[in-house]
Amino acid sequence: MPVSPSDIPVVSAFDVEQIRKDFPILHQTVNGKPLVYFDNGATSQKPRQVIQAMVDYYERYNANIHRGVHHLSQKATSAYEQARETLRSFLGAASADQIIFTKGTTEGINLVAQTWGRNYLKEGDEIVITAMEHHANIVPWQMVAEETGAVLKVIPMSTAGVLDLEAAAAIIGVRTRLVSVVHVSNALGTINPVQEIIALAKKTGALTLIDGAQAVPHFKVDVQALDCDFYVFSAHKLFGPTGMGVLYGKADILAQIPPYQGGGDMIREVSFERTTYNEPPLKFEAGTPNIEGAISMAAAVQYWLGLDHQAVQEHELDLLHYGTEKLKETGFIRIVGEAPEKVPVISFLMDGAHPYDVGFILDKEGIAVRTGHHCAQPIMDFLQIPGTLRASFAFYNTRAEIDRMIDALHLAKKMLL
Amino acid sequence: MSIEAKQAEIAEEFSLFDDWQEKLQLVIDTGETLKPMPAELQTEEHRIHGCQNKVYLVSSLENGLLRYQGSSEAQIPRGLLALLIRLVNEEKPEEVVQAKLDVFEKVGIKDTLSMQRAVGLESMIRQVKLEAARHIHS
Repeated sequence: MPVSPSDIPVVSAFDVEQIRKDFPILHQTVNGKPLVYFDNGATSQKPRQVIQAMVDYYERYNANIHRGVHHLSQKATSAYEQARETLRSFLGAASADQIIFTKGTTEGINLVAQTWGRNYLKEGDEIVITAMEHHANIVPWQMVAEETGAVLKVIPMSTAGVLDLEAAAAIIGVRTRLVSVVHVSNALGTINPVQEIIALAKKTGALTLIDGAQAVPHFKVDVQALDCDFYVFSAHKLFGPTGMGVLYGKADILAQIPPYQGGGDMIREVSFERTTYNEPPLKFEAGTPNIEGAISMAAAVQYWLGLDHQAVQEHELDLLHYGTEKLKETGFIRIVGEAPEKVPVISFLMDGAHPYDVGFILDKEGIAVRTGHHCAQPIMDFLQIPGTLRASFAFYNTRAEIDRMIDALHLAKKMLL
Repeated sequence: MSIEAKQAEIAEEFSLFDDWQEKLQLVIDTGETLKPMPAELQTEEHRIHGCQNKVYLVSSLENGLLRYQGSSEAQIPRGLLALLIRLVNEEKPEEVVQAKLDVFEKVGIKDTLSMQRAVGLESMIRQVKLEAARHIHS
């Protein structure tokens, strides 16, 4: 007998109601209905602790960093560099000098493409990505390939949303200079076997970059255990501020590659004849940085590290399984992407209805989901669909909210089909 | 029937409903009445930019009167397009250019739409007028 979703026992003792109190934005109505926020893959909500860190900075110690002798500047500098240490510890990096603050995942990838890529790629060199990349891990490589004559190669995936590792082994070869892979697909939720892909790259001497934007909000990442050369992510998907992120890099590579942008802070000595550059990470952080962003990102990481991770993972897995089963149980929803290893992200379609129309009706019922191609058009082309609806959960979501989405989908079906 | 009279007619049809579900249902159902647009006309040249999904509009002039054809892959924009075409079809280009096509605000459809959809509706109205203006100048 098939198991009904309501029969799935709640396995986690995770106190979600207590956690929700930390997120002020969740307690509001949208179109007269309590908000259900299922667009965490686009951006997550922020706990009070992060908001308070931002307020504290501006109320108590806002000043420019690194060159000030006065009290506030030293306090801000200390908080900014402490944030770097927090991020080092979060990623398991050997040194805080390997943590470069960026605007986010996109800038991290562009930084590597424009510094390492422009200087080290030659005609005929190959950059390997996968079929499930976000546009941010496609376009920067196309731009640098056009400039250098390098070639972009793509590891294919199955319709279930699983990368073809046999094909990967065949594609990654002697001409491969870089393998740049998404850790978790934003459109499908697939957790990719990056460890195995990194191992394949190492065999040929290629560098590796992992796009961790959708991974770090859901599970612990250790860059030394992965042994990747670069790892990038954004703070705003990790319960932190927008316009902030991290590029981790191996120390020897960061020392070797040229700066990204010129300006203050990234220099050692400047004269009109000659400029010498600072050491990493400052070499890559020209101009006054996003000081408040770094400090509040560190607050987000501390908040995240303070959670009971086993309980969080069980709760998220419960949401994934419950949501998947409930959607299937409707009989009119098709799940897109059913890899065995997934984060709590469910892409789906209502056959016969356009995702935009369904998403619109869900919004009217107070439910925020994403509709469209999720900045991963090649996936949609491969699956021959215009886009999907995507419910992406965070640890502060509940089964009751999933039930609300299911009710709203029944309403959408009644109106559209 | 003048554009104004058609707007009044649509306003009356929508006045029968109070809540967003019924109003939206009427928009969706109106979309079903839109004559299919030949696939060969659904080209980039005829695409309305500003809509998130693919919406196409094309017009011709017959005996001095406009004939519009349109299509949308999503149902809500298709309904909006059908209402818009109903207003401007069989009208003189000069009248379409000058018309204040405000029935969507008056009957509360625009309030029902999300910001992005409202922008899409504005793009449709602009395109309808641009098409009309093109016939005046050609």
